[in-house]
Amino acid sequence: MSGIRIQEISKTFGDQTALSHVDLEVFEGEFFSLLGPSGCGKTTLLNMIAGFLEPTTGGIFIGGREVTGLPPYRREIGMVFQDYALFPHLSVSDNVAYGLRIRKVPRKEVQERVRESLALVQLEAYASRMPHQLSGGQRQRVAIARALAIRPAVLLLDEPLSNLDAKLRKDMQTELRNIQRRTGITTILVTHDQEEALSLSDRIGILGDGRLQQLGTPLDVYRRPSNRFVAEFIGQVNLIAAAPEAASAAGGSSPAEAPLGAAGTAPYAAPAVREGGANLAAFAAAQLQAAPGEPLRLLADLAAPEGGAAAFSGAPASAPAAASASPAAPGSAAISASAPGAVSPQSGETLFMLRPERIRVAAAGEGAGVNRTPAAVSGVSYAGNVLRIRFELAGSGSLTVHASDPDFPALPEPGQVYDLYWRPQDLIPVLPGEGPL
Amino acid sequence: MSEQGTRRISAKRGKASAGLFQWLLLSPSLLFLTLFLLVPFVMLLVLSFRDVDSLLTVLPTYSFSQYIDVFTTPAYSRTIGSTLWMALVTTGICVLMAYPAAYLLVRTPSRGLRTFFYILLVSPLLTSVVIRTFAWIVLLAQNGLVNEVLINLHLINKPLSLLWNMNAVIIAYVQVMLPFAVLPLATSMGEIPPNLRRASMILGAGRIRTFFRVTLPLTIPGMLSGAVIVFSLAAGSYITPLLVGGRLQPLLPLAIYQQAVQVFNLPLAAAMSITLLLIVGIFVALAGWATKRWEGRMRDV
Amino acid sequence: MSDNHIPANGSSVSGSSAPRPRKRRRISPLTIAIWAAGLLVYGFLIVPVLVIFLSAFSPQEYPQFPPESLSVRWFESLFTSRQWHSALWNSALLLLIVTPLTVILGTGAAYALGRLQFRGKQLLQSFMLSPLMIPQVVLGIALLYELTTLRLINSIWGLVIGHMIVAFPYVVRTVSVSVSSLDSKLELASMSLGAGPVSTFRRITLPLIRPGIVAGAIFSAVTSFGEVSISLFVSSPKTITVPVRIFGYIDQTFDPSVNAISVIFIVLAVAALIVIDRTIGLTKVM
Repeated sequence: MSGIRIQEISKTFGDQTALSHVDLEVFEGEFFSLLGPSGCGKTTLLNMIAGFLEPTTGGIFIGGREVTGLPPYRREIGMVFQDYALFPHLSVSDNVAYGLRIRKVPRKEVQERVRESLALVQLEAYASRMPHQLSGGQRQRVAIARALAIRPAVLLLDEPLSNLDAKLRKDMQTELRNIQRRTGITTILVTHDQEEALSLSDRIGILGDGRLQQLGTPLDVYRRPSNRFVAEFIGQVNLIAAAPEAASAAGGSSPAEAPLGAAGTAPYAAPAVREGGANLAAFAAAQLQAAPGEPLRLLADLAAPEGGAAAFSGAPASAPAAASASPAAPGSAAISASAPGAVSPQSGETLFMLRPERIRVAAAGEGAGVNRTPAAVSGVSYAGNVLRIRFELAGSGSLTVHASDPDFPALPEPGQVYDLYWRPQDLIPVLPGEGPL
Repeated sequence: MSEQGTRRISAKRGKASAGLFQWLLLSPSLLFLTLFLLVPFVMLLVLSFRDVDSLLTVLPTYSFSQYIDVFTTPAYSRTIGSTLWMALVTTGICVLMAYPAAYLLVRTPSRGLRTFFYILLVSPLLTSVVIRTFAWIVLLAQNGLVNEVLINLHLINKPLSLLWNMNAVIIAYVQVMLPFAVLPLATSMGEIPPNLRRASMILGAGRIRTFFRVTLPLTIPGMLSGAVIVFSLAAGSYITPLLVGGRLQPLLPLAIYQQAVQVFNLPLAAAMSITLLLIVGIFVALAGWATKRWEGRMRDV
Repeated sequence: MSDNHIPANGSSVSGSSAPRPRKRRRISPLTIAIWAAGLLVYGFLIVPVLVIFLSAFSPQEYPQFPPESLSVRWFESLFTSRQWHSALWNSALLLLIVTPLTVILGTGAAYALGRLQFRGKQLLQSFMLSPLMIPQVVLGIALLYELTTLRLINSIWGLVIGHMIVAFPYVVRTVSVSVSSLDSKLELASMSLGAGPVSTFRRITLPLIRPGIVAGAIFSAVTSFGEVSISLFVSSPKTITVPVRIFGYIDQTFDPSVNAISVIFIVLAVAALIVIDRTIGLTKVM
């Protein structure tokens, strides 16, 4: 068992850059996911770890041993392919035994280890079947058994569940995680399915546009996305661009220098408001207007640990509209708060992420807390456990809210007015563009 | 009647009339092939059981005499044996040479080079077999290019006789038939999912072992389908052996040609033809059976 | 393992993070060996063609290597010879009769076989492609015997029939490729819009399988133009085609003008190939 170190990897094909300066470490025994939209370079990175591609610059180390330049058959890696890649002319047990026979493992031990591996995936009874006689899920498990039979240092999974139907995929996710726990093998999963990555991984590396956008636990990347790309790629978001409120509006208190970011590199001025014992910063969102001509006032708790802006810097983004190519499903992720012009906010504006499930809904006039606005229902999509409700503000802009099913005995009617409210720490500042970590 | 019902009935009628139309399209070919492929073979089969008198006039009686002649005359049995052997050797060499050629065709990264290889492979198929054979005469003759080059290089003193023997026939055959072996092989090589080779390599097999354990087994169907064509062409052609091997080579097609065109013993030629057809048929059937068995292992048939 | 990339200890894991350019993986001797073998095979395929070109432009009866001078005298003798003229005329006439007939028959058969479902279809398919496998000497002798019986042997029709039999499988094969890649839902859509099977075939199917038909026509023309095995049996002195004439010259005498006509044949073949490549794509039909 051993960790994997990806050291400053870049890869270019001709004049196309597939990966640039990716640097990360996967710890021993960890379940690590590489998550990103198609074309983000995650498969290229996996192929380089496996040895099917060589990096243009940088190095790869497995368990302290540099493997860059080594052919795949010298890397001692187990790999499960998207199409399973079972050898169609070999039976299930011959498939699993393949790597062992190549290694000239004694016949008896081969039998023993094949049985062991098939037991691990609960397919002992299928040893003599041919691959074409198996279902998709069974093939998947044979592929896992085959990869593990050689007792590799690390296991690479290339979108292994994407060819399975939804229910089977859930079962296989659980099984995959169990197998990984039982064997303790360092595992890298490549996937474009954020839910899969969130529920399976110890840590996730999010790739976008050939760069590592964020590296962190599932909780990190969902709750504290480092930039707009990550925020929009994982889950659904309301993105709100807001400018610090004028000092005069801050109840007379002097503007506070709020040191932000782990490195504290990006100080910027926002009037501090004392509210319930916390220091809150006040912002005005021009695109969200509770009444015409009246920008919505946002109170954000920039020091709150939950919303702690790990990588936040208030510097205006130079990143162009690339983030607008986010893969978030149109119509479901409400980013109406950011009109086209807000993609690159004017100097001084801050981009806030407000997750739809963080907004609470109360009857008109009954909303509580410092952040609150009346809004009218403009659309409802019922998804069983969750209601996706789109609210229009009286002035301009809209917000998407995910409410839980029991909260609405009757579905809200379009036009109905509610109060929306959220806590200051639910407003998470994010970097406006995508960028290197 | 509901609108849907009417539509369903008219769709059914449309299907029926489409079927009729398709049989109409098929029937001229059926008629043509029956008249000029099936009937001649039945006639040939009947002819092969006819007797001849000493002046080779066909008699109205039937017997196995021609077949007895074919299988008991030592010269003819030897001819059958050497025909089989020559066809098998040609097939073997073609298959061996086809692998690297198909590999290059499938794996070359450049599109231009691939098209070039394709043209090299296919253009011989479009060139008359007489012309391709003729080139070998120019190359292998006493005063041909090979001898001339060897003499100029002082490797030999007097020209080697390279033509008019079985080796010349095999060399020319291999060149004439190689494309038939390469093309199906390249197709089946190209159909192997690239991840299978990758899976083999990540499991620890180098390229050579990957070839023998993955690529070779998976290309057996393509290899066999090429081998079938090469074998039946090699066993059944007479132009190439006649021109580079000479009339006296002990090959069945040559014997048939002579009996038909020079000796005018048509019943004997017919019996030999049926024999040749059987040899080819058995090989084709065997290869077909092997292919089916192998593919049945890999997928439901 | 002798690979010198492996550091002696694990220290390089945390080593300098500055990107360093990497040498490309060396081309392995195995790759070189495979390529050498493959290129030799292609060389073996092309050498005879080169020899023919060399000979055709060589002034001597037997070509020299390396050639000392070039000449076009064999081309001249070709164009002045009456025998070659009549052979060319016969070949061209045959091609013009054989190609359309074979294409019509083959297209209909390939389309019908692609759409019909019936018992014994596989057998019928093998029967239609069988002329590719049947020993040519057997085909020749069987046709010779039948045509003699029918008294068709001294006319051009014997050759027409023989060539059609040989060219037919090629047309069936290329058209079948196009038919099988044609979505039959398009035809159903046309029928649901009220078109009968005939107008559907004419308006939808034919235009969509045209590449296969073009390729089939070219194969059929080239096959007919180069056919010799069956022609030798069924041609008469009046109906000698170019390949039969070439065969005669090679078999009886040695006439270097054969080289010249061969060059013309090869050039035509490569031209046909390029046309196929442009219309349907070479890789699809073979």
